[in-house]
Amino acid sequence: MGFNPLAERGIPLDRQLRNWAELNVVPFDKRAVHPYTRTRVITMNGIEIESILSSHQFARHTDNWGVKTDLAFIRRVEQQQQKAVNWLIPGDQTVLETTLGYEQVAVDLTAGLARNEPDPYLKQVLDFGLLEDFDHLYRYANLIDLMEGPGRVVEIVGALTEVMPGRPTVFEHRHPLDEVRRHFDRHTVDPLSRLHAMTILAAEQQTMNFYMNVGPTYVAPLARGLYLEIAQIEEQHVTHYESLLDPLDSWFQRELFHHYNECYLYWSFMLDEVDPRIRQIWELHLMMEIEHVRVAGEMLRRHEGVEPEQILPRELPAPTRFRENKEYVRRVLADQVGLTGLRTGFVPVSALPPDALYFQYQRAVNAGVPVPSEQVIVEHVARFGRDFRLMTEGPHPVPALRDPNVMTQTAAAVGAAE
Amino acid sequence: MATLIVTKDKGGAGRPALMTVIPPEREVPLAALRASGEQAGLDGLAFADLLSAITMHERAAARFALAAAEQTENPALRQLHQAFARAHADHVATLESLMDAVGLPPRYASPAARLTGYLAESATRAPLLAGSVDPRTLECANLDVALSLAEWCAADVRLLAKIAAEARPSKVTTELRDAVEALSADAGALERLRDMREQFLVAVVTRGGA
Repeated sequence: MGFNPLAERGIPLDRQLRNWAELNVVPFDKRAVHPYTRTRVITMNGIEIESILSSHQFARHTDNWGVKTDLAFIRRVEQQQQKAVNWLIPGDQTVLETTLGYEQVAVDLTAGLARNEPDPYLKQVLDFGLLEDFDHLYRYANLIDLMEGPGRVVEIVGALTEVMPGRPTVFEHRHPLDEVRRHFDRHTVDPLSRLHAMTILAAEQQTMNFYMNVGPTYVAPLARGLYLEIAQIEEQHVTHYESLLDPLDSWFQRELFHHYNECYLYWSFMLDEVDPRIRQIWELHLMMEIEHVRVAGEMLRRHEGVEPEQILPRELPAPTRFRENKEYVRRVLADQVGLTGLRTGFVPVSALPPDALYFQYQRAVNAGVPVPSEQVIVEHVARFGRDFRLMTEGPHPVPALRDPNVMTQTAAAVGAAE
Repeated sequence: MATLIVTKDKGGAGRPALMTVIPPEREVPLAALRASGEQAGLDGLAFADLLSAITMHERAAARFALAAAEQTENPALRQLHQAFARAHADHVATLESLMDAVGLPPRYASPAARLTGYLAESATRAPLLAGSVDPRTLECANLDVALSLAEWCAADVRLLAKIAAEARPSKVTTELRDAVEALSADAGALERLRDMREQFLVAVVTRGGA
């Protein structure tokens, strides 16, 4: 029998509050930390933030004293959890280094979820987003090389994630009407699919918020431009992924699912964590979340007549793990680099009619001006003679994207037309 | 045993619509849906979707009654809500058996059922505004909701009876008639609910208490 949060006893809510010393944790050493420890920290920060924001939204839709106060209490604890998690990030880790960590999350989390996603449509949605975040990692890697000098990328991502062009960012700008996707149905969805959708949405939302806020803290126009451009794509990704959630789920159900997902991820990450101190944090937070599940389940029972056991699986699904996905990413790249969104589906760019909304939007944002995600490569080639890549598994799987000296815009145009 | 909330684990099945994705292994083929009413000369797809929607409404009504029974401080109202919870759950069991008998997955959640469930659940959200009203007003609101849901259920049973009357004689028609009979077993329940609501509100307005 696997792990079932409903069958466990967590830490009572009134014993969950921590003092400043407990929350102001010693950060990890950015030179010694395992790249996937960093990605787990970033992921859990995003998960906590999503849960907190959802709880705030719920609170704005009720004036029921019992509900509002339960939400407020849990939310305060979740704020503390978020601080304890995010304060593991060290102050000497630059914004760009953190950004590389965010994109490594986006690549290896998305790929990991896609590889285990049971629903073919949801898997396609994940694969589609994967190639775009994979390209963001490449663009930021080139930016950090230019701004902070060589060597930074390998230090952050290790050799676990390759760095090379994905679906070129310049081509990711789509009309908003081509960004909305279909959603799962709560009566038939696999529990793992629901957790996947919630997890990737939280991660992408966090990335969107991060870029929205840190982008203008740079002086260099190139950095400001690149953050601005990729922040726009991250908003597209939030639209893309939030579409997957079934609007039928009630506020009480959403509250329960959020805490259940937090349990699931703390439990998952606890299993793999190599840093014993951080593993203790995952363990502590799991024990807190078990209680949050209990309280949210009690609210659901009282206000909707639904026992939490009726909508949660009997045990947590197989864990979500950070692991290498190089071969998987290469395969998806080779097969899907030329895709774009068309309403709720995906088609090759080459199949679009000339008057497609995609081309209208591309013209509106790209035509006649330098595109930052292209400029960063141009400048890297101008300074170092080639772009930055970190490839361990052979040449790029898309022939048109192999030349490290050619502007990717041109190369990808060829690739898209293939 | 009635299923009051449908999930994949409980055998949930569906068919995709414009915005919904159904896992391929949970999708009910259109042919199976159409076949459900064939013998009886009915439009099988419409019949299947209607049965599913009616069942979903009963499920939402049962869950609401359970929650209302949990929330009330009034023993008589608790008894009333508990009785309706049992009645709606019985209706769900009857309808699930009917769906099974006509060749449909008992937990088929049609596009119409999604909408019906949404409407019914929307009506049950009064407790979210409990801070704006005194407990007595909230009790009244819950009685209003209980009555609305029960009236709707009664109208659904009448509708099924009409369809059975129009249908060609067949095994499906017989199953439908039997189900209507079972669903109509306690015809006085709705009247008792109306009476209870009236008594409660009259007491509130005339004597300031219930």
